[in-house]
Amino acid sequence: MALELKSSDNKIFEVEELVAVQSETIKSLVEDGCADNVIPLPNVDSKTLELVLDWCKNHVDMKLDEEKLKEYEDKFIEVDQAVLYDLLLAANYLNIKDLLNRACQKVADMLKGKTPEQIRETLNIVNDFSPEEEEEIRKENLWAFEE
Amino acid sequence: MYFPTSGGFLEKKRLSHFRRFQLIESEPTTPPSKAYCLNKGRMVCSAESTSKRQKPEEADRISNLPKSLLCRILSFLTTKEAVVTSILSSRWKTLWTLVPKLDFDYYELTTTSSSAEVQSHKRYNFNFAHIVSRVWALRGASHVQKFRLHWDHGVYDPVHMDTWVRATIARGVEDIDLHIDPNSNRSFYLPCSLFNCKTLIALKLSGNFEYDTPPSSSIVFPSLKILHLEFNFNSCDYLFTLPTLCPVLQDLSVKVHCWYADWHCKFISPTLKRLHLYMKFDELPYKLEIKAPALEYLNFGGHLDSILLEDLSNLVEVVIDIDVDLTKIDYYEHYGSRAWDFIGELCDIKSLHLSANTTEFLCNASEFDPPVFHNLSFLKVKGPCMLHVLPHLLQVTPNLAVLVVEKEERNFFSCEKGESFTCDMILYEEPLQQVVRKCLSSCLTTLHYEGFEGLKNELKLVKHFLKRAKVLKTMKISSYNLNSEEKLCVLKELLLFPRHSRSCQIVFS
Repeated sequence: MALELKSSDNKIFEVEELVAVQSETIKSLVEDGCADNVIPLPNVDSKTLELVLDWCKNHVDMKLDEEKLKEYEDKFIEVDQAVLYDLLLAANYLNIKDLLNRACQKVADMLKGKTPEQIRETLNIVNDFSPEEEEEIRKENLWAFEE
Repeated sequence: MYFPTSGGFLEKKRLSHFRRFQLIESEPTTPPSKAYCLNKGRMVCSAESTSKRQKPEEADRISNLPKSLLCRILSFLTTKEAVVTSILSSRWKTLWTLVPKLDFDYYELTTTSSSAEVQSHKRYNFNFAHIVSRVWALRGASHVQKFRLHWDHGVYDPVHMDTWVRATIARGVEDIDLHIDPNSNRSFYLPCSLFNCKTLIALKLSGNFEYDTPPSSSIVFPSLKILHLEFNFNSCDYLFTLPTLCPVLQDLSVKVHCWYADWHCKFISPTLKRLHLYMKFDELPYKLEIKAPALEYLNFGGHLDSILLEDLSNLVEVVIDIDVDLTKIDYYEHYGSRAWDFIGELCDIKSLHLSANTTEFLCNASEFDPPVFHNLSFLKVKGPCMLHVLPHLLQVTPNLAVLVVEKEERNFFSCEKGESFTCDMILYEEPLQQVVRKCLSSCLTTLHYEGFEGLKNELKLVKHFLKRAKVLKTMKISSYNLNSEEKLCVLKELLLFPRHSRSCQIVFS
């Protein structure tokens, strides 16, 4: 059985039900009988949706081969930040647990082992604390900031 | 897992109908962030982003993610790493307090530099207990889903431990992982509330633990599905009764180091699916009876003695790693026979993994007569002795589809049989050859050879498989020691071998 999904930029994707129901969101729609027409996904653009559907398809195909699946997942998640955040939001919206966790893990890896300054640099975070505020936060958890 | 949406408030997200989906988030104290609403299928933004000073392509996208997502990301970090994010910007200041995971590792929290600059900032010296207590105090009453504490060094204090464990139970914990120094003379008494905890799904205990046996009438560990125990002989008697108390246990791992001889234990679990046993018994005799009719996966390691397995109808995969001090075994050959007998009891399984140590024992067994493994479709054999044991195994696995052989480098190698021993057996010895030929021709689809060195007998074996295996789809060969020139040479030679199966792919890595 095939389902039709429409991205935010009005591109239609035809997918097998088995692949699409990896998304808990879509799965509930199917179970509630609301998936007969095209399912609009206004929070996901076509580029991201294509990637997401590729993930879902491979998870169905390689279900029994753990090693191969892990290789695929590691390769899949090697994307630049912008794409990663799009994937994260899409996985959250569509409720695809393994993709969500993998993407979160990838972002977490960008935070690991770095000083706050390095994290700000990598993620483009602007420090909006005054020097006094920053000093106070540092004192509150001094044990964490010693290197 | 529950993720907080605002100010420590918990809200389980339900997505029942697509059109009623709302992801709303508001923060009264920090700068306004985007609120997303779904209104008849169209996304509507109601607030501006705060990073006006940055160019669009360098925007700080991560800070604009919903709080629940940021907390989920932080839950992949240790608590120390999460606390560090509090200084990134005002958006991040309190996020770490909302993360439902607490992860404290003694080494991570106490390895600090002692530079003069750092010393001058410190008014107090924080030890491990101070840090953990402080985190507890500052994070408020928010939910704890996972609690991991590794306190395997320093001055271990069971009173603190008791306080923290009780605190997590009070906050609805689902996953507890405790590790204390096994050599500490102070053991940890598990509180009763742990046994009655309705939310606990996974429990990992490693070190010196004790408990008072709960009354048989009470319902103990009502939701516990995963239990991993690692302990020494001090608490041996006690802890083996723990798994039997769990009514819905599915995954059990027991690693025990015991110095008592003639120890006898019985496990009964109607729900158990995965069992990992590691018996470090100093080669003393013991007797273990296991009744787990739902068991699907068994991993056995350590010293093999009397193990009685009742009702293995659902058992699919078995991994065996016999690990004993060879100087302590009286009859080496008898031990090997015992290993064959143990494997023989598992003749209905579909997948079997034998470690290098195991194959060495099997190789040196004085007598063995394994039954036929009708359902075995996956076999992995490791170690320098794997070629010696392989023909005996191939003889009793008529339906083998995937064969993985891994030649491990080993320092202590007690086998006298030569390298070429088994190849000749497979290739030329008559009754063996018939059975093996049948299996190879109709069933074998995949062969992985790891640790290939391009030796003459290895090439001979691979050539034989390629020639006979009619339905072979993939032959994957990986080598550790060959450089790229040697690899190319071997690959060329492999590609020249005649292949019975036309669709066979050779992969060399």
